[in-house]
Amino acid sequence: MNAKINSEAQEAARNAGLAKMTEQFPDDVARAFEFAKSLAERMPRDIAPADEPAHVYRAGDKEQ
Amino acid sequence: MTDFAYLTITEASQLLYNRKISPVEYTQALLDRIAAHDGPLHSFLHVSGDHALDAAKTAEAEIMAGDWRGPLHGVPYALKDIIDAAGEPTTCHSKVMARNSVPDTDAHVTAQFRAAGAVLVGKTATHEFAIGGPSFDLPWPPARNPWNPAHFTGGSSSGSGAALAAGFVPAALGTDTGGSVRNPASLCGLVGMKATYGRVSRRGVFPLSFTLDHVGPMTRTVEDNAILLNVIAGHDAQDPGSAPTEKPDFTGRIGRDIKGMRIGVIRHFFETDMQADPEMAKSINHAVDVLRGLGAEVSDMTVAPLDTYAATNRVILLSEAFAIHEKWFQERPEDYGELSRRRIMGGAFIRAADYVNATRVKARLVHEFDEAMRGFDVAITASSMDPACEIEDEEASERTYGRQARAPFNLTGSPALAVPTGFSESGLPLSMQIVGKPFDEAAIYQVAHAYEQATNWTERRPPLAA
Repeated sequence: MNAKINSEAQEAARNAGLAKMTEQFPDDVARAFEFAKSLAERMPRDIAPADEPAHVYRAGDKEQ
Repeated sequence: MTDFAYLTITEASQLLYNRKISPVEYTQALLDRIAAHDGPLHSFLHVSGDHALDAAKTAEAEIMAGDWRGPLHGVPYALKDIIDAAGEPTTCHSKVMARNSVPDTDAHVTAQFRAAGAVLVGKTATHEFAIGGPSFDLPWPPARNPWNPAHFTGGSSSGSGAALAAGFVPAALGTDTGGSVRNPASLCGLVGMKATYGRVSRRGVFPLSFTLDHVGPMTRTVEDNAILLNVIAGHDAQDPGSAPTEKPDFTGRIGRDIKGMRIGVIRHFFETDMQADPEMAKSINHAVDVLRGLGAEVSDMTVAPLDTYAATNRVILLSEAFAIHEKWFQERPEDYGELSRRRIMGGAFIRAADYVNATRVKARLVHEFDEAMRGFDVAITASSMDPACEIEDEEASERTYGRQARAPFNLTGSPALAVPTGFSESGLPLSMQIVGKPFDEAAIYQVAHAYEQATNWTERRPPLAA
């Protein structure tokens, strides 16, 4: 991993409240950051504007 | 003298009902076997010896009085240690939970077992929080594969897989968010079911990902698996994901022939999207031939690429998992094992838009898969792409972790069963998946049982039993 991405990873972790993580486990932070980025890139992008998410709430469709 | 270790539930139930064996001697025999053989396998994190014998005595008294509760009455079982049982510790195989984790109520599934008169013998090893493993930096070592203890069990329901294969229990529960029931079932030569999302309550089970988590039965035979699903399935109004549907008798179609059933083979998952190990691919193709020989109409089917399912599953899973673990990650990251830290932390870096888009892709994949299944009764594909790797080979473990075709069905919510399809030349189990339409687990069991009866894979025992 290059220094720029590593720096970006540590900053993102601190922004997520993971300061202890960046101090104690900077390598884990860097690897997790890279993996998350690669996952997002593998996702399909051809989603129509009106496509709804799964598990859309429908009132009253369950027994209480 | 009865050999208790490898009794099926069906066999044990008959013997118990007819008072040929007692729940106490059955439970004691399995506790003795665990004491003798679990040392190198590490299946159990916690054995509930006294509580188990108390429950067995109660079952014995009831059966002797003619008050038989059903096929699990007096039958020992094990729980993956993220599932609560009142009075027993739930550790999630983690230092994070180890200090404060004795629930005073049962998970819904545990309560169902208790009502059925089953006997809990202990809590089994898992990947830490059902995601971080196999790991050697946790308070307990990882479970090892009874077919060869140098090898991985698969996970995350690793101890449940090891305990079943080793003949420690005839029944166990696991959980499955990206394949964690079906993976150890596949690598330990077992039958593992992830039923339809909503079919089995998750209340009282430590969550990994709310929209992908399932609880599932693990057994050594198909019929036993259907018996367990009969016990644990059903609507639970206290689980928001629980489906208010009728529960059929899942054993109802077992034993029927499969002539004319339409089976689709999702070949591209294990031939082009990923290339399965040649022995694994050969065993699946042989299984397809067996099913065709039994009269099924078999043809290939095509769905979205495996990587689309895999990436979408992971974006959702990690986002939800991080939301669950965020506070502990901020305050005590050192209490997690390295693999959990790395895997769960990915969720901190996934953008909100990517998470929402993943749930939109999920909706599309569900619809597409339902459409593809219209012409078929069940589908067949790979479960694991490889036989179990060596557990201490970190590189192989990391490489094979994502080489699977199970995660698609957590995403679609479809029922999916891992079934043994033979053994590699080195003696390690091989497997396939049978996938069904929503809430049609009975069709899966029908096909799986027909295949099981035409082969003898579930009759083999690992070497420690010799």
